[in-house]
Amino acid sequence: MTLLLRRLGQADPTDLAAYRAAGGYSALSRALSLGAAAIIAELEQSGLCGRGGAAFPAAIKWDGVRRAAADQKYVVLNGDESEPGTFKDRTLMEADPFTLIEAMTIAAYAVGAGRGYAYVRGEYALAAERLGAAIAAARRAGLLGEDILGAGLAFDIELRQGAGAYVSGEETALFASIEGGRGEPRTKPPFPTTHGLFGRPTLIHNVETLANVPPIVLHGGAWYAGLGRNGAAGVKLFCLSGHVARPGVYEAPLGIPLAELLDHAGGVTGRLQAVLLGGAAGAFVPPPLLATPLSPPALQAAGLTLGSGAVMVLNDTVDLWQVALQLARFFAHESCGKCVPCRLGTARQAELVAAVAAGGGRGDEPVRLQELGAVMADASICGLGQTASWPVLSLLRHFGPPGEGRV
Amino acid sequence: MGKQNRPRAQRPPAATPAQRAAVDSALEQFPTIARHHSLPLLQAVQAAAGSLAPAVVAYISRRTGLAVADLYALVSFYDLLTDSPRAAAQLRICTDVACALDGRAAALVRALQEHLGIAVGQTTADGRFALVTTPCIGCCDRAPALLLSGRLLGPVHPEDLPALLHDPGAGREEDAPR
Repeated sequence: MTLLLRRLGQADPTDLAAYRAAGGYSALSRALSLGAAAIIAELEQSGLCGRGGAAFPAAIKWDGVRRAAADQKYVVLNGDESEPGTFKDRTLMEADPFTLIEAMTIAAYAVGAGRGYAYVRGEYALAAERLGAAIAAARRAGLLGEDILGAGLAFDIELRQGAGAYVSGEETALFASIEGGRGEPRTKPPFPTTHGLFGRPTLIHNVETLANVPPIVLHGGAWYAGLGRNGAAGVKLFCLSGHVARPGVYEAPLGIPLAELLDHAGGVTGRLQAVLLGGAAGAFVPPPLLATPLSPPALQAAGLTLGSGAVMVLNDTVDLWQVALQLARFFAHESCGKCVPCRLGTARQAELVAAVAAGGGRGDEPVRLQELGAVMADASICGLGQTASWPVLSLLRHFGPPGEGRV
Repeated sequence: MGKQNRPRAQRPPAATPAQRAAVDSALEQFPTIARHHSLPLLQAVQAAAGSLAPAVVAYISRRTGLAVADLYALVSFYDLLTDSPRAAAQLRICTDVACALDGRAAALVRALQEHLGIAVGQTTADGRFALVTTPCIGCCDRAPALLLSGRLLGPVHPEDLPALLHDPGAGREEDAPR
């Protein structure tokens, strides 16, 4: 069974007639007959949480935007997927653009938004081309515009492309980018539900999160929640890469144990040393923790994070401290520089990790990395600085400095 | 008495007729221009003119009323915008974790440096290619990957390079497998 990847491999993903013949837009029709309050109730029952990394409950966002009073509200599709090791949103935008447009339209109806923006990562030319073609086709067919499905619903979507900045995937940074500025984050609160794009109430969701909406509206929140395992609700896309037999995007129940997911991808090539789970803002998982269910609460209890769903498999030929150094340099490069803890912290972290990785240093680097990580987590204004220390701290915790505790 | 006027900042070189024509044609896509059009506008101009050199940005500002400082703030922030004076095709090699495993990205970078005779960060003497490395480009399932003039290609092996560079438009961006 695949839910989110059901339209992968269509001859022409921008063929609206084929989409409708396969049941497309029946979720929007059902949404219009349900009404806004009932849609949000289904969403709440589904247990759907954000799939971009923060795992925030979707229904709370929808309810917040719906209740906010404003002359204009927005729905924003966050397709600025840039977390290293993540390629699920690209796959969805390339393979199934109409589902995302339908989901945005349902969301616009439920929260009372009149305009939408689809923001696609600048490196994803094919995804942007497909989404743009699908938006144009939907507009021609009256599925975007002044009177959608003859129901008096007015909503349209503008496509925007990023231009190469990891931090712009942060929600408030993405707003700044659409508004014509540098993609730098703002302090929160106020949150986007009341002060988002152009200062108006805004519902912003990761691509994968929105892709879940039409099936939830069609089949109900309880049905969707039941697709999960080990107490988790729904399904998740996982991006398997590195030392696995068959890298790719895999759909699996949320809550599936990590070991079972690796089996889906044909197993590990070589002898497993660690899994980098959640991307650069993720954590190194040692083999003893492979039985952990992949759900946000279970992972949090184990000191790990699901993040965006990146699953990078590393066998015992890999120098994990070199990987940590690469990630530390990545954060130092991608820090936008707006807030001090992140701007300076990511640079100092890269220096400390370099010293440890080279086997030199003063010996107190682990303690200083922990202190630095705590300050960055507390004082950085956005998720970049708040999570930039996670991989190196998880490496220290589970594997220790080079030469200690290696498999 | 009175202050001496500070010397005027050096003006950017005037845009060439070709640069002006590229900007003019890109601006036709924008019936109205507000600040929130800045990024799509710069992207359209870069696509038409090949780069956002100072003369080009100054001419955009003159045509639109958007401040040079605000436009240049974007050019300097976003990695995919370039103010390089030459309009070379960008080769962006992913050197992130998945592509770097087993030395694959490093081998690709080495092969490209040898083939093009330039180092990372440089542009070939004929102005055809600029070589840079990039963090993850979301193609880890087809590692090692690269972007050539905006198209995502992978897996790319050193032996594929001569054909790819001979005809940069030939490699087709493909759907994810399965």
